[in-house]
Amino acid sequence: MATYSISYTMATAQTGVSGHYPLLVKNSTYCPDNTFYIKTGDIVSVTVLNSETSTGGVRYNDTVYADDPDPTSPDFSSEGYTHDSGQVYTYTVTSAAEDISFEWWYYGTPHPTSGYKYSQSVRMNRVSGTLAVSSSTVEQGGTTTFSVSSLSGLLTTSGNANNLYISVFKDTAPSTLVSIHTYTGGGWDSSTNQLGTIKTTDTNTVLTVGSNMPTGTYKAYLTHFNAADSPGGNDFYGSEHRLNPSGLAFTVTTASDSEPTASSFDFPDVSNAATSALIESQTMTPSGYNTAATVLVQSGGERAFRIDGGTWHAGGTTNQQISPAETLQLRMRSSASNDTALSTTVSIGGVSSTTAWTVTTEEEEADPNPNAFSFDNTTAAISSEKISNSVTLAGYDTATTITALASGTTVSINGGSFTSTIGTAVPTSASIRIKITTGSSYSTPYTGRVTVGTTQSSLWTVTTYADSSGIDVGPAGSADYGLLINNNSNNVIFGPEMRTTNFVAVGTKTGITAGQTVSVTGIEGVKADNSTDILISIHCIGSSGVDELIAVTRTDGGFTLKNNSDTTRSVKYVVMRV
Amino acid sequence: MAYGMLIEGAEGIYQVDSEASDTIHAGVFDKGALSSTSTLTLTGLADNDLVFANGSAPSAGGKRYIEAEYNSTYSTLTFMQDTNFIILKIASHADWASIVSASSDEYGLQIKNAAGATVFDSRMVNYLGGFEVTKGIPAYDLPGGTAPNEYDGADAAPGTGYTSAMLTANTFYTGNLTNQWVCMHGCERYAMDSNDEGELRHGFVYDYNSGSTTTGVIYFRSYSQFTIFSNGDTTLEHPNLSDVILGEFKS
Repeated sequence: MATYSISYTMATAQTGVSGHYPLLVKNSTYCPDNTFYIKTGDIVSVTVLNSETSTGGVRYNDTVYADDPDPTSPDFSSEGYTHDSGQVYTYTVTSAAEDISFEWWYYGTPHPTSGYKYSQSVRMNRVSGTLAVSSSTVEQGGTTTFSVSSLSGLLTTSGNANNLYISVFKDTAPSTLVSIHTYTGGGWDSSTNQLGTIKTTDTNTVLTVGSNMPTGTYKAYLTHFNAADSPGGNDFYGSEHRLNPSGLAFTVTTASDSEPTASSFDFPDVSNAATSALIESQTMTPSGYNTAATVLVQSGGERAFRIDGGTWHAGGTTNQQISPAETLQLRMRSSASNDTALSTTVSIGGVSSTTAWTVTTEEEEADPNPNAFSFDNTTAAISSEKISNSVTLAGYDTATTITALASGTTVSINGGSFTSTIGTAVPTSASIRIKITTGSSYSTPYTGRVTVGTTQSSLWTVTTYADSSGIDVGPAGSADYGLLINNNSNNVIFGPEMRTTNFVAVGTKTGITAGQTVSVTGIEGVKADNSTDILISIHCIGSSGVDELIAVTRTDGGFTLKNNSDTTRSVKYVVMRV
Repeated sequence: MAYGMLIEGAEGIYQVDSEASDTIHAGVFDKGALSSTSTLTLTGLADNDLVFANGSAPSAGGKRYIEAEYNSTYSTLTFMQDTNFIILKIASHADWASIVSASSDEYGLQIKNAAGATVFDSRMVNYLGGFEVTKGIPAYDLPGGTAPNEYDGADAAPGTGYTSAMLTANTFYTGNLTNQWVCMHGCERYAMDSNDEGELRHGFVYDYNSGSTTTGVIYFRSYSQFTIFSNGDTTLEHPNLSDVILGEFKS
């Protein structure tokens, strides 16, 4: 409790005349309608002076308000109402209803004509009210509303007059006044300074906590203005003026921030990923936020995310929240195509990452190995060079090399010179030929082979021709029998030791389709194994073509003609017996 | 048949068999030379006539190309160069009648088969001479091939074209060429031009030794040569589809 003291010299105001007992106003701005405000338990101390005399110059008037409490000191019953100048009148304010507002009137020095020359009144109003706050916890940048209920004793507010004040002090030592309004965005809606004001017309005031106001516990005090001479200290928020000496605690907390720093969840891109593979991102811990926030990940493409290593949630899920210090991980399926990027966007608390998470599949590996290839087997003379047909390599997409050659095989690329050099370059879509030299044996296969990249050609077989010296069909021996004819020169022109020409058959076979085998039967003397005695000559009728391939196979009593070409053929045949 | 005549030669070679119904001796009906100065074409050939040819040396060490083509009825055969020829005609052919009747031979042997067809007549053998088949090269034994820069109209330098290996592979006779005759049945020749492009089948080359008009080799020549777009000449070898028959005239 506090003692509010004033000392004043009575005004020159003749009693009984209009304007007598003028009210002593100590502060016409903040307290113009009374002398000062007090609270229950406070002690009022009024010292009255008479400017003219010091003895018996002050008289107390006890008649103005019967229900007003009178000063309890001096003791009027023993000391009466007349006192010397400088008399101190005191009273301890109670919670009685009559103490809510009271006036003490003083006068002195008789006036020459009537009444007294000096008079003055003092008025004290006892204020009370209960301070409350809408939220005892308020975030930086947030607001909370202070209100005063059960307000009583405060005179009608007018401008700066008759206000109560709410001051905020730190709750930790040293407890100092907090200049609310100096923090970013901070202040009261009822003032522009550090104090909130409560008026009879508005018992609520909103405090906005500056965004940089230190977090911690504070106390709010409701104070009245002090117009008395003492106590000293601040007349607005001095501790003696508090209606709630214990204060109303509230806590300022860090501002709720559900928007992490965008770059804190920029997931590192993945490159050279396998195609059509589920790729998981690195695990990241988003930062820069202090409250749970909703995670949104792009849907589709088997995109998913998981929080703190938990269950994977499909992209597009909207009900998953991440809290500070929790980790986030993304997943998506990479493109089925090589060298193709797919991205996933992610946002937390409405903040999108700076960059989307991108997974790029590996470039298609260059394939230096052509498809399997082969050369057409063929025939050749003995001890001769044979060049294969040209084969255009396919199925590789980068330049490659000759990696192996069979012994004796040389290779030509794109019509170039034949070489046996391993490592010879083979460009894409190259045409390739190989060459071997056949050996000295008749009817013998000789082979060549080339390997391009890792692709080995089929074994190319070159079969040497049969011995072309033919069959000497003449009888090896001699005979002393048979038919012999000499001419006039006595030369043998027909004899048992010479084969001569005997016609057996002539004929045609027409319309032999490709691949067809036809039989010629009823040919006299033909046997499957008597090629020495029976010679067959064929001729393709009226045709021309590079594949005029007719194969004759002797049988007993005839032969077959097989058309090995790709075109229908007609054949004339002549059979001779020799 | 309880009668008739069957004569076999050494090692059972066929000479005469009156019991054979189709086998008929073919005698030398004609023999001569064709020249580009007159004609290179034989006409009036019967379906079963067999033509043999011999390429005489155009010059010492020269080559003679034996290439010809039949007409569609096989009644004519046209050679590309000067050629000696022999036509063998079967004994039963009517063309022999006048020759036989004009023969002064009052002896000899004539054999007919059961059908009454003459299958052998010694007068035919003695008309111009006999013919001995000395060698047969089975089909597909000769690889064939081309001879670049050799074509019918220009007798290129000897030895060009075939590689030595190809010459070896295609050569089926070495020696005196004067009386070596090759059967022309099977020969074909299509659209050959001055650049030797076209198709030749079953041709032969009489390739005389340097400085000689008698000795040398005979080799087989058969190929296609043509131009495919701008890729230049492409040549394919053709083996012998027919048995190659080599014989000697006997007189």
